[in-house]
Amino acid sequence: MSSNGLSPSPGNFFLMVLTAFLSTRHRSIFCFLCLVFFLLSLCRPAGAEPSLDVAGLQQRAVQLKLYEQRYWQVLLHYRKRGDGWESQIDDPGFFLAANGKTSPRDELVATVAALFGQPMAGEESPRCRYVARQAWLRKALELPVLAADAMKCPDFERTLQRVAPQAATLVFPGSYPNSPASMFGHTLLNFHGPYQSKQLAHAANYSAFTDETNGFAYALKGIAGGYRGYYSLLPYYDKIKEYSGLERRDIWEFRLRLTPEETRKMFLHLWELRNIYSDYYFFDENCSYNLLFLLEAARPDLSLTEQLPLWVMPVDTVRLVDRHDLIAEASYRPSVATLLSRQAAGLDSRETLLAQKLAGGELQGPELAETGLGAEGQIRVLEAAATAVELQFLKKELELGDYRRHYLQLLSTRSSLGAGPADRRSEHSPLRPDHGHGSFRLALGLGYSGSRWVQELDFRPVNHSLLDPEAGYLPGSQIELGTVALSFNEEKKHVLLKRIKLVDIVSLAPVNAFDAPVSWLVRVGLRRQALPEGRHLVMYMGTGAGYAWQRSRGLGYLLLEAEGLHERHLQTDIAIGGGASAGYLAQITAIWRLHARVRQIHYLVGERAWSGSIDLAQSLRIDRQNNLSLEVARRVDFGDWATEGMLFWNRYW
Amino acid sequence: MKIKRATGGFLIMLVAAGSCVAGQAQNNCGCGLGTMLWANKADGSILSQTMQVTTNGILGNQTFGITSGTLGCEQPESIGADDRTFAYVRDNMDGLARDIAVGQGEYLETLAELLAVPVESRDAFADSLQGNFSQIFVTGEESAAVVLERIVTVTG
Repeated sequence: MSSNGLSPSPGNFFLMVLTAFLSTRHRSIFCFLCLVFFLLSLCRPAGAEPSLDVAGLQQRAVQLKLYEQRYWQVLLHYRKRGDGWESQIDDPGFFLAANGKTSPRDELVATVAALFGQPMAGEESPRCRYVARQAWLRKALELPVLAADAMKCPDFERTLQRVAPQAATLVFPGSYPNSPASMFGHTLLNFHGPYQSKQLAHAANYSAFTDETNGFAYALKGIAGGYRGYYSLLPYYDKIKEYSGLERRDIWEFRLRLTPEETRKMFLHLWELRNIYSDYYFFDENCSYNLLFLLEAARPDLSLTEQLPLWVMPVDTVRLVDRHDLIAEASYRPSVATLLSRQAAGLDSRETLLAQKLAGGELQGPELAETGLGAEGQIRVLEAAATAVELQFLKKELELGDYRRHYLQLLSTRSSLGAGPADRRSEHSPLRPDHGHGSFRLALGLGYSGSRWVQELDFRPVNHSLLDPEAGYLPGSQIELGTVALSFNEEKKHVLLKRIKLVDIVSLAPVNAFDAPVSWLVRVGLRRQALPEGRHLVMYMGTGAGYAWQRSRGLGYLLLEAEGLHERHLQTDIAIGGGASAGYLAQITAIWRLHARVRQIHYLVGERAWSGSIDLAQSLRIDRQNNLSLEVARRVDFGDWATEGMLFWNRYW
Repeated sequence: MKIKRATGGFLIMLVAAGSCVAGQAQNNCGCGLGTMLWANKADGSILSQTMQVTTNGILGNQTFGITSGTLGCEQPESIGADDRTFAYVRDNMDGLARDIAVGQGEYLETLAELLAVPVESRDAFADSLQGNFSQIFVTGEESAAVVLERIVTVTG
């Protein structure tokens, strides 16, 4: 540096001042200023940490092979890929080294430099962003924790203080098949602070962000990883309103066995993932999968993200977490719709009528006392009616003004009746969803079909059918995807593809006094069936809608159906028609289920003919993994009558 | 991986099941009963419910909404420093109204905890709120500040 340079850099300015002072006789002032400069140099910005030798730290970090340590892999979401490593995070902004996505070592070196070499510069500085990396590296490199840092990251400090993470809960809003979005459930991770109330937790959530409104484009992009997934954190009560109210999904909460320190580590890692995206894949790299990274950050010796199959069902993540003995207790939070159906079930016929009138506005709250109903009856009626009004509003069947007037009037009348019977909300909980049968099913069958003995092998990767043991699943729901059935004919000695169910979804949602949801079904696939000229593999596509009614032992239903068939042996290759099906699905004893059904379809377009069937299926639960089922059917397809009887052994895992 | 996704693609097109593609909240807050029930949804259309699509895009600081937005329903100065209680009452007024009328429930317990009502006084707290329901909720349009003020006044 040239001393006669006149550029206004601080260094030159300092030299100029120094020269000026040396040339004067004010030596004492100079000495005083020297002292001031010296003292100032001691309180440089906190981030600089004058004693830290960055190159030395980098060297030490490499010597200690910190980049090979499990926690580093967890924090960066590295997974083995061939000989090397690759992070599951796709946002380049997450990495400090240019090749950080694939090089744990370079990322470590760059992180040490960024954390310990640079002065602090606001909220987006590495120290405020990479709080978990920093905490771990400070420990690993035996560096002191800087108290002054806290003051420099007010956003982080405020959030940490607000959330005050001490305990955590895995939250599973169950599926509600009448709303396809909930088909596979969802998982959240709650951070609990010092409060008893579960509502005051904060929920971490991983979800795809999109403004796509076209369903097909959305679906395609979702499969291909076209959306970005982000972590978010919201008050849990907002999530309760969303799932329990709007989407009518029951919520399961699994309190985790994590220490406050582990919970805190998990929170620090979540903070690092703020505003960081990963490509979102519906099936595997989805919400549930990504939350597992947070659990690994809490306890790095868990390896959760490496053990999962080709797709990740949220309920499987619950099972996985339970297998690692992380679930301390489970609790159940019924949705508004479930609450209403329970309240409705508690009313006798007269009370039901009164509650319907109240909910419909034909009867005003204050007039209820004149009906001669006792106080407890009035309480039941008013509470059911208020829930019904709330649900109407949630379904947008009521205007805001009407809702307010109506809801308040019912509640006001209710409030005048005092406490009433003890807590009516904590009624029985259904079986935990993760304690139901597994999502995979393999069935071996033996039976008599078309006057021959046949053996059948049936594999279903996803997830539940009406006849499977219902515990842990939503009653009256069926979701089957990708089921393949092969049949082996003893006499002809050949294996035939009997059926592929690409999609087979049935949602039987019973009507109650206040709510009449539409039950429906959708099915698409291939099946071998009789056609006018022999048996062939036919492509089918069908849908149906109707209503279901709950009876004491089971569920009765009636659905109108439409079906299209495609096969080259059909006239003009197709047959399209409509018809109906009716059935009864019953739980006869705790382990014995029955499904009886009649169905008829008339094909009017293309090949004109009709199909009909009557079948009776029963199942006997042996244990959580095993089940026997017996299916007997008599059917007619295009004039060909056949009887079939099959006995299956079903194995779930 | 590719085959898996392609197969899956067909299924998903038919099912249109976005398992957890939850949209981010749009805080279209107003004041009073009913306004916050929809706060996490752009609208209630089938499409929105089915796809859970956001109309809001991504705004960085909204992804960490530890304190709910205050659009349209601001916290008044007079309430004091406890914005957590205020936000809770504002965002959960419907559930709170129900629990106050019924005299029990999780919303009521949460409120009591936020207001630091001692455990032994919680029954009395619930009773006095239940007895004064019609003074607390008159039109249903009152803001959280008014409701909270009345709650504090009533329970003394």
